[in-house]
Amino acid sequence: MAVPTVLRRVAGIFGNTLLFSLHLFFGLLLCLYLSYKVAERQFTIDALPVGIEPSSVVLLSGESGGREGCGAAVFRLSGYTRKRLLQEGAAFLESARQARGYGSSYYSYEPWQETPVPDGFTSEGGWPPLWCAGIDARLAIRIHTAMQAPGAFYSIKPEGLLLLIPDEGLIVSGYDG
Amino acid sequence: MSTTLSRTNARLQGFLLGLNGAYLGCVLLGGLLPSWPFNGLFTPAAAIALLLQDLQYALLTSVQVPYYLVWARIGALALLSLWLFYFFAED
Repeated sequence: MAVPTVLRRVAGIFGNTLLFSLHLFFGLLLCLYLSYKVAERQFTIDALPVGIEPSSVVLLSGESGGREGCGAAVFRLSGYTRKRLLQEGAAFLESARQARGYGSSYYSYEPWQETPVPDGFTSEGGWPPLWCAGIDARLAIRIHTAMQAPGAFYSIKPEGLLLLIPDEGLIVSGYDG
Repeated sequence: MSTTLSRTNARLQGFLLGLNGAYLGCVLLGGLLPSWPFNGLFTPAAAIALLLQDLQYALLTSVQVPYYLVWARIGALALLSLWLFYFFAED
C-alpha cells in the first residue's frame, strides 16, 4: 500500500507543479500583453504632432508582419483642440508638422489640407488601415464620410495619413507600409 | 512543492484570477465598444488561465481562501485601473 501512495503523491506534486507553471505562464502572458498595449498607446500619442491634443482612446489596433504593418489609431479630440479647429480651421494646424516625440523625417507631416482626401486613399472600398484595425462598421462609415466631404483636415506622412474631424471630435491616424 | 499552495502562491494565484477575470469581463464589455481589449490570442489564453485557476482552487486550504480572494480583488482592480488609464488618461 505504501508504494502506490508515494507514487500518487509524486504524481500529484508533478501535476500541481505543471498546473502552477502553466497558470503562471498564462498570467505572465497577459501581463506582457497589457504592458505592450500601454507602450503602444504612448508610442501612438508621441507620433501625433505638437498642438494636437487627444483626450481619450477610441481604437488602437492593427496587423503587423515583421517590418511592415497596417493599422489605425482613433482618439477623441480634446475640447480645447476641437474648439480651436472649429474657430481657426487649417490656420491652427500650420505649425503642427512634427511628431511631439520623434524628430526624424519619418514622423514629419506635410502641410495640412482640408478634405476631401485624394481618391487614392478610399478607392479600394475604404481606407485600408481602418480595415486592418478591425474597426466597428459605424465608426468606419463616419470616418469615410468625413474623408470625402469638406470640413475635416488631413496631413500626409511617410506611409500614413492623419485626419482631424472637428465635427465628430476625432483624431484618426492610419498607417500602411 | 507540496500538494497545497503556500500563502504567497495563494496570493499570486488570487491576483492572476482577478487579472484574468477582469480582462475577460472587459472583453465582454468590449463587445459594446470598439476593438481593445479583445485580442484573438490573449483572450483564449486568459480563458485557459481561468480554467487552470478552477483546478488550483481545490489546492487552497480554508486559511488561504481569504488571502486568495483579497488578492483576486486587487488583481481585478489593477486591470480595471489600467483599462481606465488606457482609454481616458490624457497625455
